[in-house]
Amino acid sequence: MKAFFKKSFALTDQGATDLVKSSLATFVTFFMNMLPAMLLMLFFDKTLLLDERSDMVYHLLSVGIVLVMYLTLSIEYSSLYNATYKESENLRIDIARNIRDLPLSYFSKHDLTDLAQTIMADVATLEHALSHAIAKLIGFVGFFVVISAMLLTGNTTLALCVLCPTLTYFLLLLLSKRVQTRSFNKYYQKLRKNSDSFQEAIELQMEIQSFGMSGYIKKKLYREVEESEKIHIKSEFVGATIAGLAGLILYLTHILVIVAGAGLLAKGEIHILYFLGYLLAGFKIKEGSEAISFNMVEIFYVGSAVKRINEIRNAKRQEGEDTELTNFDIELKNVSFSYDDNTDVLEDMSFVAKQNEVTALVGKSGCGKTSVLRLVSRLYDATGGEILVSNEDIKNISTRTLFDKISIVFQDVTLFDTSVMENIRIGKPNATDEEVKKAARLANCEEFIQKLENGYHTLIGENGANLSGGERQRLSIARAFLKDAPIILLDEIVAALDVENEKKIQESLNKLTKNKTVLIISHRLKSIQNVNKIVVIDNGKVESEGKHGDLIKKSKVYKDLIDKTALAESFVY
Amino acid sequence: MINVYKKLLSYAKEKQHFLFMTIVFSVLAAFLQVSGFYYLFRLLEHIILLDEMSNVKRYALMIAGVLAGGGILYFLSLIVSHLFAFRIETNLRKYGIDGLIRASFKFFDVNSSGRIRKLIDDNAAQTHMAVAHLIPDNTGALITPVLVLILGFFISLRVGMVLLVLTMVSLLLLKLMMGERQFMKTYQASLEKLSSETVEYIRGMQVVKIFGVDVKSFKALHTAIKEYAYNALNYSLSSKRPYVLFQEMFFAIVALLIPFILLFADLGSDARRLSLELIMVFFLSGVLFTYIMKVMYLSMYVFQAQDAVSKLERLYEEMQEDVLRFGGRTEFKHYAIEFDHVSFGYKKDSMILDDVSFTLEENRSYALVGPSGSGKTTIAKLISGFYTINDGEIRIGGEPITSYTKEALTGAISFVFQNSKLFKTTIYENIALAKKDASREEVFQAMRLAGVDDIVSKFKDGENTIIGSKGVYLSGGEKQRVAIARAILKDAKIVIFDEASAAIDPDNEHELQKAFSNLMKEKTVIMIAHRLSTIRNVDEILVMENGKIIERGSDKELMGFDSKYKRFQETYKIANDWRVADESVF
Repeated sequence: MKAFFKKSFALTDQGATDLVKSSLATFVTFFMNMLPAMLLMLFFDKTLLLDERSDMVYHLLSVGIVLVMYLTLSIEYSSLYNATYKESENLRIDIARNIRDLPLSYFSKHDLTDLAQTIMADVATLEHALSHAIAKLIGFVGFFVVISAMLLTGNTTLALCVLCPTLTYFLLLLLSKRVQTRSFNKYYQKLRKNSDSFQEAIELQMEIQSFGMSGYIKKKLYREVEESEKIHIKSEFVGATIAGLAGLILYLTHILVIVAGAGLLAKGEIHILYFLGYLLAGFKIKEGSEAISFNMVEIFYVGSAVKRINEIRNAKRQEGEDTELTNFDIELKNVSFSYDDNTDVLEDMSFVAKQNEVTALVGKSGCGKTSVLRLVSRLYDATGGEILVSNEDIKNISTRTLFDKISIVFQDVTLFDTSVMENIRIGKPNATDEEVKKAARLANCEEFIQKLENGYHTLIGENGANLSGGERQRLSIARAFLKDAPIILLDEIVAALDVENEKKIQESLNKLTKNKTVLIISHRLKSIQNVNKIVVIDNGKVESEGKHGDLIKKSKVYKDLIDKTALAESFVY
Repeated sequence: MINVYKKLLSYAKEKQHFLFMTIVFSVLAAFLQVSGFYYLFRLLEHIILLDEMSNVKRYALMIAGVLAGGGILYFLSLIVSHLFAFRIETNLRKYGIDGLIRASFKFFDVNSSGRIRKLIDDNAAQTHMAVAHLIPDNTGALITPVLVLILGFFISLRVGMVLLVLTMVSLLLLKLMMGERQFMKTYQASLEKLSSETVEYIRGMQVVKIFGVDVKSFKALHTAIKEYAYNALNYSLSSKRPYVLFQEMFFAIVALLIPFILLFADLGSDARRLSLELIMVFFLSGVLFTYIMKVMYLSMYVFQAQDAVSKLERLYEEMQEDVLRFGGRTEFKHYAIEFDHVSFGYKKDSMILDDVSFTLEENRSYALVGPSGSGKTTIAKLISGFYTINDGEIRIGGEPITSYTKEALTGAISFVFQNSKLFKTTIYENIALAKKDASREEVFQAMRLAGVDDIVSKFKDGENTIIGSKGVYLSGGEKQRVAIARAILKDAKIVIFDEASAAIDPDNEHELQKAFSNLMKEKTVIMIAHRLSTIRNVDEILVMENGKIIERGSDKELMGFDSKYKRFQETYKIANDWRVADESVF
């Protein structure tokens, strides 16, 4: 049962245990809430049938019932609400931990806001369902089974009058849910399409304005939301009709009990107390069923939240052992890779990037060179072949050991909303202030840092919003200096900068890359002319490799790129 | 509460009658529901007091009919209110669309596209959930208890008094729990805190993993999670006693009454009547409980609806800040551009351009040069009329740009953006949109001049290749070539080119240069070029630094003295000739 709860509602161990407890508590509470009705029957025994029980019995029973109910209601309350908030806390922390262990590729494939949504909104949805719906429903099901048995042992006819409509009601509700889910998918797809259109309209704002397309776009978006309203109405209609019908069927309870009961009563086959008892049961069970149907609806909705949470939990982890790495050659052996299992971005790629050497990847845009860096840094995992570091397939090396030996300087730099000092220190968490400053000097950061209001202690705003692109990049190079890893991956880092910044970064790069295994991508072919090895990539394959001098002669792609660069360089408007 | 209705109504005026129908249906539903209990009372009266069975069947059908009728009406009111709510949702989205279409560019600079979309999407959807249930339940919750009390007093003074006291006390207890409004605020605040911490946490995750840092931002998230749970738990604890008492009162009403009856009532003569009344109290208190519970959820719905609408309205307001103004002028006397003491900043306290004045002659070419952040792109955007300036005036053809119609102004200028973006349609359509009545031949001509014909020849569907479909990849430089083809087709008199330095690959750069020089012919040209060697022949170069123009002149003039420009050119040459692992640098 616990395991089932845990899986069905994406709970923690504690949460599942608490759910078992709270379900039990609601189950008991449902019964305790029946006591007053029983007392009422007993009282009728006295008032209508003139039973000679002493008043004291009723006094004692009344007080006893009031006390017992207070107790069970209190216990139920604590087990439902107080436990829930503890669980939502644990759940959030658990998901946050899970996210920390996800492979980097997960972050590249998923929208960050979607992930954040999972921790936030989905847990909130679950939290509400947990405190209001789930345990109640489970408790009710248990209660319903037992009460059904009790009713049936009394008078079968009247019991069936109460139970049949109720059971039909719940069956119809389940049916309406199934119908609804199917038609809802259509609506959700439409909603997603709408979102895409909205996103496009927002992102292409400049284009839309410049080409006077506002009217057209407005009409298009209007049409889409109108369509989605129609689909929405349609998607809810069938399900709602069934649910409405179900609601009407529930009224049969009253008709059947009254008609059948009166008939039996008239024939003298049952006692008036029986009649009143089943009448009470009929009304109460109907009220209860209606209340429970709201809970059912809520639980239906929880499904998608649970699915998202479980998806994070069950996402494939990158495995591997902590390994002592001794040599830092990077060797690609017949590596193939595709982002979508469909079109191969890399096919059968092999080359070696040697320790203490700089290896450059060149090729036309879209040829796959960036993918190589992503594979080496395990942002993604290769689909075929192997990538060796220290003669060990990196798939078998724990990411912790591997990342410890790699510095990555990519185009987009992530900075945190804290001081400059702390942002650099991320490169080596236990570095002293002096070490941080030294790294900053080596990365040519010192000059601009000293100009900042509080020097190294200046807060840099969310994602370094107050720094220029060049400054951000230099901070990330400072991190790399501080980390001093034997493998360095550089991706197109100077592309977005103005000349002043570019020159500064170049100076520091030469220092950074000394005696390391360096793998670099640069669009500026001239900058890599002197590297130890250039690997020319074309259509996901190695076209040729060698030094600049050889490639000029033997590589058609390389020569072509060099020629085009020369043309661009000598071009004057 | 009325304000919420009014506000919601204002977003779906054309469906006003739906609101009234919903209310009428739910009032009738409440009425029928309670009359069901009236007939139940009559039935029990017959059975218990009169010992008469003859009318039982009739009453049974009456009860069932009236209750079912009430059920049907409630169902109808739900349907109508859903239709009403759907329309509100649609209209709120339209409202968002209107806002987007007219929004200032500043708004898009400040807010991420994902955030804007999510705000509109989520809040519009949220209102529909709230509205759909708010209206029928609200009406029911207000009317039913009153009708139940009337019925109670009709049955007997005693029953009426018991139900009245029950209602009063339960409302009091509800009030005790309703620190709720305050709680909702604290709750919302801690939720928002949690949400921003979560985003920060996830954003930093890549770095955290690569550098093997023990998640630093986790501490903040952890605190936020704990705080949220703490607030929620505190609320839960504070509501415990009133809520338990509230339930107890309703569920245990019979047990609470029986001792009093035994002590004070005359059981001898009144026993049957008393039994009848007691059973009615039992039934009616159940009805009261159901509806008073709804009141509790209602405050949540009201809060949600209000919160969602006000979030959208705030977003809309933000969109409308600094919205552009246009005039009625449609003709340009000429196409010279003048900046007259122009100051501009995205934020009030930091100016990007500071009192800038210059004139650009018609049909000449200009290059803007300067470090990143010096204001080059800003000048280009201001010429296009994308922003309201803080001070000064920008003129084209001798008249302020705000005096032209929007169509005239956008028609006069082609702007090739740094990150040119394409619509998710065919490459052909992406170009043809630049000129409404363009012939196929014209579009192909523009494609040829911009070198897009080379690009489309890579794909098997040629110019009908759909952007964003599987396996279709255009590099940044290629996208810019498509954008240039657009500009060529548009054939505006003023051309602005913000070169995409980041997206350029060697394979593309020369093609891009050729494409742009085709676009430049006989135009007023303003370019922001990153390869400084290419701009040596432009008519004039404007050198920018810290939001000011510090030098201006031809390449020859500027190279003739110790200018900033000369320094730039020299640095550029060094940077361009730099090599990784070049021993000479060490």
